Amino acid sequence: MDHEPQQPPMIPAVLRAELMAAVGPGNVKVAAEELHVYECDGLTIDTAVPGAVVFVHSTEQVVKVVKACAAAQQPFVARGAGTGLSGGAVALNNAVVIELARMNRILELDLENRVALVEPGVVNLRLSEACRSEGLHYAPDPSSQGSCTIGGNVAENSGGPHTLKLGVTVNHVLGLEVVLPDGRVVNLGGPLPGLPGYDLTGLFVGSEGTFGIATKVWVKLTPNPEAVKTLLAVFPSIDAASRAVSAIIARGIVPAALELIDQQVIRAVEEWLHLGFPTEAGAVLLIELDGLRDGLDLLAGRVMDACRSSDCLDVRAAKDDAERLLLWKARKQAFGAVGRLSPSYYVQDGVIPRSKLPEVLAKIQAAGRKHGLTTANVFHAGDGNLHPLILFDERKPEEVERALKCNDEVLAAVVEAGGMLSGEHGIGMEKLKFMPQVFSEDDLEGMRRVREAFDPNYLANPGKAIPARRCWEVKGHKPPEAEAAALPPMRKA
Amino acid sequence: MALPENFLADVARICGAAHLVAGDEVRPIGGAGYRPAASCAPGSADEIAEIVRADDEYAVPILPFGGGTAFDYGEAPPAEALALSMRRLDKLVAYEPADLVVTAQAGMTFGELQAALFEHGQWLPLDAPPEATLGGLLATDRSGPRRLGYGTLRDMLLGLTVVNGDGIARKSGGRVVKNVTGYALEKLHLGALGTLGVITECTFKLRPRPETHSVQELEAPDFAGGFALCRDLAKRLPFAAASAGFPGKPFRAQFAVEASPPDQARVLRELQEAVEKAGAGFAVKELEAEGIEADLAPARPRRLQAVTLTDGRTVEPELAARLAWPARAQDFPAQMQKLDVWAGERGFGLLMAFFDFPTRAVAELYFKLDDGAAAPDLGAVLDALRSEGAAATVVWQAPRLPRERSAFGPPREEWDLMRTLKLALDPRGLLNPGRFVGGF
Ligand SMILES: Cc1cc2nc3c(=O)[nH]c(=O)nc-3n(C[C@H](O)[C@H](O)[C@H](O)COP(=O)(O)OP(=O)(O)OC[C@H]3O[C@@H](n4cnc5c(N)ncnc54)[C@H](O)[C@@H]3O)c2cc1C
Ligand SMILES: Cc1cc2nc3c(=O)[nH]c(=O)nc-3n(C[C@H](O)[C@H](O)[C@H](O)COP(=O)(O)OP(=O)(O)OC[C@H]3O[C@@H](n4cnc5c(N)ncnc54)[C@H](O)[C@@H]3O)c2cc1C
Repeated sequence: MDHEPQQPPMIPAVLRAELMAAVGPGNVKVAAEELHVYECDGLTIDTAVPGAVVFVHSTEQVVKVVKACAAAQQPFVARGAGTGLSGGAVALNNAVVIELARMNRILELDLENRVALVEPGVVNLRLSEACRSEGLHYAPDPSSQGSCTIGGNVAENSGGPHTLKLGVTVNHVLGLEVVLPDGRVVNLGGPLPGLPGYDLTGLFVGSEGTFGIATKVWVKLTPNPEAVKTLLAVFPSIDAASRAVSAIIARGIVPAALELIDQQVIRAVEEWLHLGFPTEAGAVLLIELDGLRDGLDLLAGRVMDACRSSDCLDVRAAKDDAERLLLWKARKQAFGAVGRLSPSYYVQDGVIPRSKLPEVLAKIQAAGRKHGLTTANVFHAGDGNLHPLILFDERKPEEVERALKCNDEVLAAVVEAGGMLSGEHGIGMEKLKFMPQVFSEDDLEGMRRVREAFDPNYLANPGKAIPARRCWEVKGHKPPEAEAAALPPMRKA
Repeated sequence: MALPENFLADVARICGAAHLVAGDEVRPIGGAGYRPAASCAPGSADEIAEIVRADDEYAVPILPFGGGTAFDYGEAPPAEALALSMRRLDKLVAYEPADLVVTAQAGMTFGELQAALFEHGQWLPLDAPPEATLGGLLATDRSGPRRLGYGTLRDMLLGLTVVNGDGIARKSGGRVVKNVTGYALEKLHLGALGTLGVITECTFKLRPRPETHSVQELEAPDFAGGFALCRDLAKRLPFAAASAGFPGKPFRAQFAVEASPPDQARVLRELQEAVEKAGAGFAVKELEAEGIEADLAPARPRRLQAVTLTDGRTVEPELAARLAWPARAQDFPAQMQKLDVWAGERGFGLLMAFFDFPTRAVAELYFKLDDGAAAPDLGAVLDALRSEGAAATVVWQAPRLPRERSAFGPPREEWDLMRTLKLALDPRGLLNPGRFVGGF
């Protein structure tokens, strides 16, 4: 959060008039106090005040707004619920925020064929609720699913606890309607499988709003499992818990969900919600198994064996649905609980080979100790997707410096273990400077070319996802304005 | 039909003269007997990159190939081209069984990889011929009946290294099972027929081998009844695969069950009960176990050039196409009936249409020209198919049928964007030029 007063940037009067004509004056915000609300997303560290915020209600309106921006060479950025954790929806370079939350209709629900067509502003959980009575759900379940949008999920290729077995967003998106940065509308993929051509749907998912704006999304719906068993395994240390994760995976068991919660987080949750978690435990694993009821006991037995072989203190199954929901409540409220412990926290999203969990978690703890900061862990252990939380006080600049150093060391440990920078939150603006650690300049140049095929003038969410051509020097925690917009359009051969 | 001497000299220097053949010595690739002007077998990704860079000056089309089992797919290859065999890039690069992740070179065959994985009780659950290479599998993105239980190759691919058309090696994705770092360029190469890059290395997410495996064959008195029962079963129970054929006289469907012992017992019991309840003419029996590695659907052709019908006869098809209807799966039987009649009226006998349950109205169709029928206007036939609202792709056509129009159908609006992407990653148009959608 930035506490220096910032003047709202101005957008050209002509553009403002065009935006108002496109969506109606009531749907365009340009006043300073209104714009400040949109200066960050869920990662409050990176901020920028948008040039305007425009509420859109239809594809046609998105086209008009995008065309107006293109004509004025004004960058724009799509925004869903603003729960992103990598600064993805932050409006760099005066960008116009295109707020999609009001495009929130479920357009088609084909239960027989298990597909749905939705607008991007549909809140993730609402889609599952809409088909629950038919025994179906939308599988990707980010912990923020009560507020984040399908459009945001598409842009980030979001995951969730249950994407371990069922796959992340890209595995559930069949097709998209996209407004390209020049205002053209294209359909990528669709409910029909096997259309010939490049997999543009797969490419678009996870592109962080830099290829255009998704205005319709075809998704798969997944049958609810016949039976579910949720285990809580208690360990003396985070090391033992992470060894158990490796042991479960090494036995070839892929649970529906496999989440690790460490002592810091357990205590934070207990203090707040009093759910009865063991506050003396070093860490717990929340393990969910699902499928036919016939094989569940056998599977649960094997998982328990794997836990016991890793010095587990206690492992038991939730006795009923109520207890199961309680366990999940603790997991889903974990970030919120940690938020109560510390004025600020930094959540990282590195992902590593699962056999390296014990080693990397030890390094994270060491980094925290070295910098005198508390670290906490609550993460999708089954995927190797870490979420180390680094607690700090943003009012103390020196502590911020330490937190950033600690963060760098955490990411270095991830890279050293053969991991990648982000498992689900995206690169956004926040991890850009680390990209050269995992990709060569040639790799990045290839990505830029692909970006330019969609967006030659870098109008769609500039300064995100991949570093711009000229390497910038990141000063402190505030990346400079993206300079990409100044690049000349690509020459077509 | 000769390629520029200087280019061939460059290639010989790069990969060694012993690994370059030209002219009459070149062996044909694929079922239609395509013979490139020259063929080389580089020994490393660096050599491939160097060959592509050397070609910048000559713009000779470069056609990577692996097992050649799907080489006929796509538009006709250019005559004056350099074929680039991937077979010397056949090494396992990294395999950590505890992570259920493997990285291999793209010229390794599916059979070789599978054998290495089996040793650790793991596998890549795909239905593919053992002689196909990993690169070929990726470039054609073919999945078989097991897609029901395990998803497609797209769900298993974690990362790629490719040499793009500018001769630069690039990496995307990673060796972790979940990853949003950088654009998912690896997805672009799936099914791209090698038009954006030569795939040199690939990383997959693996599965443990199932504890049990059995293939059950269900028989039904008529297509509509069999179809409805199979669809219901496939929606209700976790099969690894479920597929059948049309016209299917008699109607037969194959179900694969790959599960833990208690789950298997449950599924087999319900299958039995469902068949008993369905009444006269319905039956189910276990097919002889061929091992998990066996091709799952016994009726599915192992080669495009020979189709075994449900009555046991083997026929050589002359046209194979993949069709997808924008309709609901429950309308599938009616559509198939219509298509059968419709094809017959145009002198094309529908031999067999294979599809998977619970079908999303997609089928692979095999036709044979009726005896004595005049050579048809293939383009007109496909156009008519497409006018029924189907996306139709020609997968194989007998060499004697005229090859005059696109295998991929009329242009679609998103092809413009695809052309721009092709230009971005293969600016000189060197890789498999003209073989994919839109002729680029
Ligand atoms: C408490 C908490 C828990 C979380 N848990 C998880 C988790 O378990 N798993 C996980 O993956 N994430 C998680 N997140 C992160 C976040 O919720 C996801 O990234 C989510 O997908 C963002 O959706 P949104 O609608 O809020 O998008 P926003 O934050 O508004 O936008 C995110 C990005 O998407 C782009 N975008 C939005 N809509 C579109 C569109 N229609 N077309 C093109 N681009 C678009 C934006 O430009 C931006 O770059 C969590 C966040 C919080 C705060
Ligand atoms: C439509 C279709 C139908 C099929 N039907 C059958 C069938 O009936 N029975 C059966 O057994 N199999 C079938 N196959 C499966 C086929 O065997 C697989 O697709 C196989 O993986 C091809 O591997 P290959 O090594 O033989 O590829 P090849 O035939 O050598 O090459 C196929 C295509 O991939 C490209 N390519 C190959 N290697 C690379 C690389 N490293 N980088 C970039 N591009 C590359 C080639 O340029 C070519 O365009 C079918 C495939 C398709 C596409």
